[in-house]
Amino acid sequence: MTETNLLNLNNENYKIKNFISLFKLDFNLYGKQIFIAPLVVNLVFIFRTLISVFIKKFIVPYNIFNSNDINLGTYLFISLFIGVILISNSFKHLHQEEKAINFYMVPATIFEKFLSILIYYFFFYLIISILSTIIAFLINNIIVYLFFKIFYPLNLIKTLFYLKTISTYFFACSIFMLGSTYFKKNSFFLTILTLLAISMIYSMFSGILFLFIFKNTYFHSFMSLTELLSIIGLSIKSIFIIIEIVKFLLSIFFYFITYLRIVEYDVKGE
Amino acid sequence: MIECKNIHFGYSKDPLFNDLSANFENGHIYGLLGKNGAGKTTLLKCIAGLLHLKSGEIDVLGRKSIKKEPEILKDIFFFPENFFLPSLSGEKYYKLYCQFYPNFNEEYFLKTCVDFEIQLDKNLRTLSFGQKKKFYLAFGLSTFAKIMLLDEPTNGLDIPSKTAVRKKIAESLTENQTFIISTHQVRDLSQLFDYIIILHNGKIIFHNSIDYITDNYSIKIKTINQNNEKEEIESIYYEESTIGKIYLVKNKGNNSNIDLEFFFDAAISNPNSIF
Repeated sequence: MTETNLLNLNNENYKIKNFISLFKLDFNLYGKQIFIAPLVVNLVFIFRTLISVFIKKFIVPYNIFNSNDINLGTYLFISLFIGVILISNSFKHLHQEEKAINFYMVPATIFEKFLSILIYYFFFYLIISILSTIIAFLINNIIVYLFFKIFYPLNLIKTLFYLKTISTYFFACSIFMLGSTYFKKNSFFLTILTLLAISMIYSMFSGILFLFIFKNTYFHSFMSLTELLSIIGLSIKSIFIIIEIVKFLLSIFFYFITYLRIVEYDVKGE
Repeated sequence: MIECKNIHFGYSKDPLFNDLSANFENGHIYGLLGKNGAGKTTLLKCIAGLLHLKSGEIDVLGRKSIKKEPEILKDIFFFPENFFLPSLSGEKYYKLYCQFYPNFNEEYFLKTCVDFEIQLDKNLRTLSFGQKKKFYLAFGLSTFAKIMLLDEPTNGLDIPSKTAVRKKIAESLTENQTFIISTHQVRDLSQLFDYIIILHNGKIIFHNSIDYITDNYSIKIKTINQNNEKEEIESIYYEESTIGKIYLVKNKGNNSNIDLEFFFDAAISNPNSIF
């Protein structure tokens, strides 16, 4: 191996080692909440099942236990909703001078810092949410089986891997992560307000567009992208694919803007 | 080495730095002095790459610090006046953060913590302000980063701690390092400085060595009893005090001790007379 190759390899090793150190550091700074939030949600899930079992076994035995009583979809949704709230605070530290200095002065690239936070708040949080919900579902199933000898099949889990859930979470995370770089406080609510304002502008714009171009009075209210595409004559399946692609591209765009905001950020005093 | 070339910067439309240039060489401790709002912290932040300049350039060890590359960040330690310490034990903190600094000296760090009387098993959030400051400074000095930017390092420390900090800074300096220490408390750290930079109204009005000051300026005191004497003292600056009048005068070749705080007052009251 030539000397240049060895140098490159050492440099690569250094970069990998540095990223692992950053990842460890971020776990200590932000990691705990990523585990705690889904854990709490699923403990509630198990607790609710226990109460439901108790009521249906001992208080109102004629009430039949059904699969809705252990519907894991709701709990996954709650868990991911909390994830969105958490990600709306992911770059909150930029707005506090001392925390921002600590963030920027750690010897790692801005991209590595951004990537590390994205992995924790999106990827890890999603995996932990899915896994903890599956485990909670299995525990619930055992509880139900012990009392009613019913076992609900795990095919319910299929809903978890439904592409739409993950892509929607990815999209929501991109918007709220961007929001966290703009808003110092109440980033979650302020991002929602911004989204509402944008929706209203879009509604007005699409209304005017259809009124003047298509002379169609029916559509001059709020027009969703699905409605817009259905007018063109696309099938439901095509519309779904287009929406998923648009969501993905918009997510990448928002993540890129977030990254640029972090790069261009000035650590000014408060 | 740090090179600031024609930098322009301002938080609003009014510029804070207008065409400011300065060089900082290795192996020296620079005292950065200035009144409140003169731009001391801002200059340190600009050097650390935390603020984008309107124009001009800052090269730190031959690289642009604004790019915030790890290769340069591992050689800069910025000690801000208000700093963040996470809810971790001192031991966990240094083990996590030291990974980023290739020159980190664990032995030196542990010894400094003993000298500063810091317990590493305690959560950093539970420490007093002074202890936090000493812990963070112990960590920073142990990184042996080539550029040390210290903003008010002795502010809020008790007298024994100030002495300990001063001693540690003096002993940790190596010839590859550059220390820039911004302070209001000139007397606390004046023994450390070998260069003085005075910032006033966004400009550097004085940038020279302590040797230059002691070679060229001295202090004369005219006590209250001597006030009636007719001898006129040709001074650059004078201050009334309880003992009489204190004058800053041009030295004629003799080396003399000088009170830096008095020199600073003279410089900002009459910037043109100092050179």
